[in-house]
Amino acid sequence: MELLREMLSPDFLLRDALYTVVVVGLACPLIGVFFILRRLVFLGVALPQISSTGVALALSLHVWFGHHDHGHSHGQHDTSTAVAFSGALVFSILTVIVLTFLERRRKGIAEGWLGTAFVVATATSLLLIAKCPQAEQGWLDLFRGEVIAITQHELLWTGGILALVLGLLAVFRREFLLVSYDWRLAITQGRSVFGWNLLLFTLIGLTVAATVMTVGPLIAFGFLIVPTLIAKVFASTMPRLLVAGSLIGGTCAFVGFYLAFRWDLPVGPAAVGLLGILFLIAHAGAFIGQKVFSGSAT
Amino acid sequence: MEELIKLVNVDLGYGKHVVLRQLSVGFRRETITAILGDNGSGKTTLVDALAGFAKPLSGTIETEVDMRIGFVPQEESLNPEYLLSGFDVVAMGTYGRVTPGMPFPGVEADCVRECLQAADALEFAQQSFGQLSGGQKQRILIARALAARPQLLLLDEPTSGVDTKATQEIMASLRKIQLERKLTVILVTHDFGLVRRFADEVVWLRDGEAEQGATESLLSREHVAERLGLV
Repeated sequence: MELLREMLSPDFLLRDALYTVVVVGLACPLIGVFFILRRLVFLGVALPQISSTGVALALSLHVWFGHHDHGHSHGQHDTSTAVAFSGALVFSILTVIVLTFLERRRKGIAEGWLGTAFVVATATSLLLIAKCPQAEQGWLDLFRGEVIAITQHELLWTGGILALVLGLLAVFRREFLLVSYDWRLAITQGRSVFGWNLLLFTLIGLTVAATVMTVGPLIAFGFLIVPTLIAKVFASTMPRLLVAGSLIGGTCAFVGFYLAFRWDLPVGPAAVGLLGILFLIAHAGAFIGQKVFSGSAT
Repeated sequence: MEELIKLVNVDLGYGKHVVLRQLSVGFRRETITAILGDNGSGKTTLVDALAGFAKPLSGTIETEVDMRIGFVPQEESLNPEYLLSGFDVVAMGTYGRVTPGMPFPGVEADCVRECLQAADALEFAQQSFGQLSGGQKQRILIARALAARPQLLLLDEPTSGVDTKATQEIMASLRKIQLERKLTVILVTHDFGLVRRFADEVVWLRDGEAEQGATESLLSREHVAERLGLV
């Protein structure tokens, strides 16, 4: 109880990290629902990993070209953040542009290509940091989901980007739903399927870049996908799916942070592990419920 | 009677693969035309071209500028994981008239209810679309197509996977709607019985070519036997 009170205090040392993780937990499921509904879960795995390679490359280039942050001053940290975000953004956006062109062929996205992109991205990241020890620590912290060093500036940056993305998703929800659900209908209605898909995937890329940069690929993927998969077990309408996914994400982020703080664990694995346990409980509950109801019906 | 849409010397296919060659067919206004053919004969390719989903490899498709199309896909082509009600699905038919980013107007909600009524689907409006039967889903999809206020209604195997009774009911209400709204209807089907009962004209695809004519002559016993090589 004492720990909880400390976490909720405005003077909490890791306040910005806590707020960032909870904001990511609340927002990511609202965006990740498109991964689930468009059957792009594997893209949800690959995109944060590819984005984190962008972070590794940007940080390495930053160091190699003599801009290493020796003094850890506020301004230099901001520069590193901007560089890392640029790397994540460029890689995410390039990937989603390729994805939009693949979607245009109406043949879906080849899992083989995504799988290859995933392992090549991981290998590239490891090679880059092997050759650039100065960038290694920051990248490994991201990879492990270690978030305690998040600053207020990063919180505002991430929160601002997620607010922008969610705002645009809310404003254009009908168009995104239309091209996702039935692209043929969208064409007969005179809508540009390519254009709306490009905008949707760009917003997804922006989300992935922002979250990977601050909380790492593990938390980004975990909160984009798993809360919605849990909510899908019991939600019966789209609004309920969105609200339940967001609440599950936000709650697991907070509780995961608490558990990590309590037992001195990295936040990412603790929060995502909690999501995994909830996922198993929800599906087991649904399975048992189905057996009980089908048994009582016969 | 004037044709609403006409294909003139059109080659249809994908990439370099031509499925239908030098096709010249027309679809008369305010009639029901059935597109018949075996699997792989090019029915879907023809529908894709008529709806504007695919461009012809060569030739021209003549039609009115800004012709409104109501498209009814095969219900299994829609992902049931979207947790949409019947009303939500039909509302999509009106999206072409609603400015992106603007609130959904009340007049369009009225249009949705009117189209649900016309397709005898009002009772399924609040139910989850994914949990409806095949016949109920088809009624919702017909209502969705009507919500676009179309001149051309294009249906891709509208009674596939639907039981016989529901098939007859769907086709009867489709005929009623077609007459009331003076629609041009093109439907793809395998069901000769349905075509004989409900279609005015037939386009029969075979070996990359099309034969077009009135239902009673093209589906006469003698002609069908000849086409199928039974005589």
